[in-house]
Amino acid sequence: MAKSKNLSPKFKIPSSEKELELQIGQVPMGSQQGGLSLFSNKFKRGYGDAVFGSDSNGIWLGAAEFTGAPFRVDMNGNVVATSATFGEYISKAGTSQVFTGDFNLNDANVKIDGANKRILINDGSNDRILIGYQLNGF
Amino acid sequence: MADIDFEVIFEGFNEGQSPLAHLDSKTFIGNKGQASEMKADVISNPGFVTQSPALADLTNGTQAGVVDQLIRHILDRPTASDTTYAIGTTKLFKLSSTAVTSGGSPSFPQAITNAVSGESVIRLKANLYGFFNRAADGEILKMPLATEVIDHTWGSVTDAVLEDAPHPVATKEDVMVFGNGRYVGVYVEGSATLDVQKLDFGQGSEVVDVVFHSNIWWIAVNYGEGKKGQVYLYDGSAISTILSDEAGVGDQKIGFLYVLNGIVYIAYNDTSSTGFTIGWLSGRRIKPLRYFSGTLPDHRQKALYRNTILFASSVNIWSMGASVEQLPIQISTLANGGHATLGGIASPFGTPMIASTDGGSNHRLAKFSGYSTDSEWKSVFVDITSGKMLGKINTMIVSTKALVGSARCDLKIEGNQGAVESSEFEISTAAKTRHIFKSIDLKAVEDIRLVLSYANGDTTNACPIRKVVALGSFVER
Repeated sequence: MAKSKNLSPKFKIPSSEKELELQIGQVPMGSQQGGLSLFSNKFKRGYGDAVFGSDSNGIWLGAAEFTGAPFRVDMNGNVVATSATFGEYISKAGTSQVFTGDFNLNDANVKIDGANKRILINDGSNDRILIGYQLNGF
Repeated sequence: MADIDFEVIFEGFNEGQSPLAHLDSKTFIGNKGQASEMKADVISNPGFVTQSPALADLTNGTQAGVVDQLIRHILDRPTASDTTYAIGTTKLFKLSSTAVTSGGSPSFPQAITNAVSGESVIRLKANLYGFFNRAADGEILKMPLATEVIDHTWGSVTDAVLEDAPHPVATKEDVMVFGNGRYVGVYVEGSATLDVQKLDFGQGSEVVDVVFHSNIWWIAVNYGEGKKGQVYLYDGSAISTILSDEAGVGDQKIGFLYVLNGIVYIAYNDTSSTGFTIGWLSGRRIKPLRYFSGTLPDHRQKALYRNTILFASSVNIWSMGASVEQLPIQISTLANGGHATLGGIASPFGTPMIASTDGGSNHRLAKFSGYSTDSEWKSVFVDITSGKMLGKINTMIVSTKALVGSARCDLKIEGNQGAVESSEFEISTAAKTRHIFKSIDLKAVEDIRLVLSYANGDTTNACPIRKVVALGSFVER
C-alpha cells in the first residue's frame, strides 16, 4: 500500500520564551540597574533623597527630584546651593580676571575686583567701603 | 477497507486560535492544534481540548441576593483572609471566595453617596479607596478596613473633585497613582498629600490605565477619542512632574496594561480594522502577539489565570499566554461571561470571578465552577484535494483521557467551507481512551474542518481530547 499523504495543517509557532525575548540590539524603554535609572528624559542615581539626577529642569544632588534639592543648577546656569567653599580662585569666564565678581547679600553686594586689586562693598545704591586701590578715590 | 490516501491530524490543542481567526471564522491558516472558532479550555491541561468552565453564582451573587447592579470593578487581591471588595454602579460590595456579604455593621453592600458609576477600588495600607463618578464629576471614597465606615468625599475634601472619567489606579508601598481624565493624580500616604492633577496630558487626552513595574509607573493615555495611544513612564517616587520616557502605540486605542512575569502587556485596537491586539512593550516598540475579536477590554477587565492573562471581550472570557513558557503563546475564548454585558473580572482568591448584567434587572457575580455545555472547538479548514480528485473521509480516530462517568463530546466533520457536514459521532464510553468511527457520512469534499461539540457534555466530568486523526481517500470528482 502506498504511503498516505499527511495533509495536516501546518503553521510554525515559536515558544513563549522565544517570542518574548528582547531582540539583540533592541534598546529597552529605559534602563534600571541597582540604583541607576536611565531614561530618555531623565537620569537618576541613588535612592531616597541621596540622589544625583538630571532632567529637563537641570541637574541636582541630595533630593529625589530637582525641586527643593539642596544643590541644583537649572538649564540657565542658575545655581542653588546650601553652602560653598572655594579653596583657590574664582575666575571670570572669557577673561584673564581672577577673584572678580559680585556676591549679593540681600540688597547689598561685595565686588571682588581682581583686575584692579580691590574689594568694594556697595549698600545697594552706592559704594561705601573700599579695600585696596582706586584712582581719584570714591 | 478503503485505501487510505491521506491523513489529517489534529493535536497540540494548547495552541489556541488561528492567527487569522479574528478576521475569518473559516480560515485555512493555522497549525494542527489551532481553531478557527472556539469556546473551550485549552490551558488547564495543555495539549488537550476540553469544555469551558461553567459559572456558578456566588451566594447572594444575583439580584435575588444583594447584587442588584453591575459590579464594575473587583479588587484583585484579598484585604484579609477570604475577604475583598468590589464597586458597582452605586454601591461598595464586600466579597469572600463564595459569597457576597449581606448585612453586618456597617451593612454591606454600602451605598456610595451620589455615585452613578464605580470605577475602581484599591487597598493602600490600612485603608480602602474607591474611585467613582457622580453626575458631573468624580470622587474618591476612603474606608478604613478596621471600621469599614466610608468617607464619601475624601478626595474632594483633601484636594479637589475628579474628572468624570475612567479612574484606573495602582499602588506601591505608600504611593497611589490614578487616572483622572486628562490628568494623573498622586496620593502619598506618608506625607498625606493628594494631588488629583499631578500630571497633565492635555486637552483631548484620557488616562486609561496605570500599572507599577520595575520601580516605574507605566501610564497608558489615549488621545483624540482613541485614535492615538501612548504609554508613558513616570518615576517611581511620583514626586516629579516630568515623565521619564514614552513609547507610542500609534493611531490605535489602548484598552489596558497588564504586568505578568516582568513583562508589560498591552491590549489595543486599530479602529480602522477588525479585531483587537494584545502585545508587549518590547524596547521602545509595541510587539503584537495575538489578535482577538469582540470589544476592547479596559482596566477593570483583566486578571491572572493559570499563568495567562484573562480578559473580557464582548460576552466572553478570553485567555492569552502560555501555561508554561516552553509552549507557544495561545489566545482562546475560554468561557461565556454570563449576561450580555460584562463588568469587572478578577481572581483575588485564585478562581476567576466575573460580573455581568443583562442591561435590565438581572445581574450576577459568578465564578468558574464545573464544566459548561456552551462549549465547542472547530479546527481550521484543511484542503483535502489532490489534483482533480476530492477527499473522502472514511475513518476518524479520537484519543482522549480515560473518560469518567457521563463525560461526552460529539464529533462531526464540516466540508466545503461548512456547506456540508457529517452526522455527529459520540465520544463517551467510560474508561476508553481510543474511539474509532468508521463509515463517516460526509461526501467527497474539497476541504474539511473538525468540529468538537460539548453541547451534550457532562457538567461534572470533562471529556479531554488529545488527538483526532481523519483518514481518507481521493475520489474522482
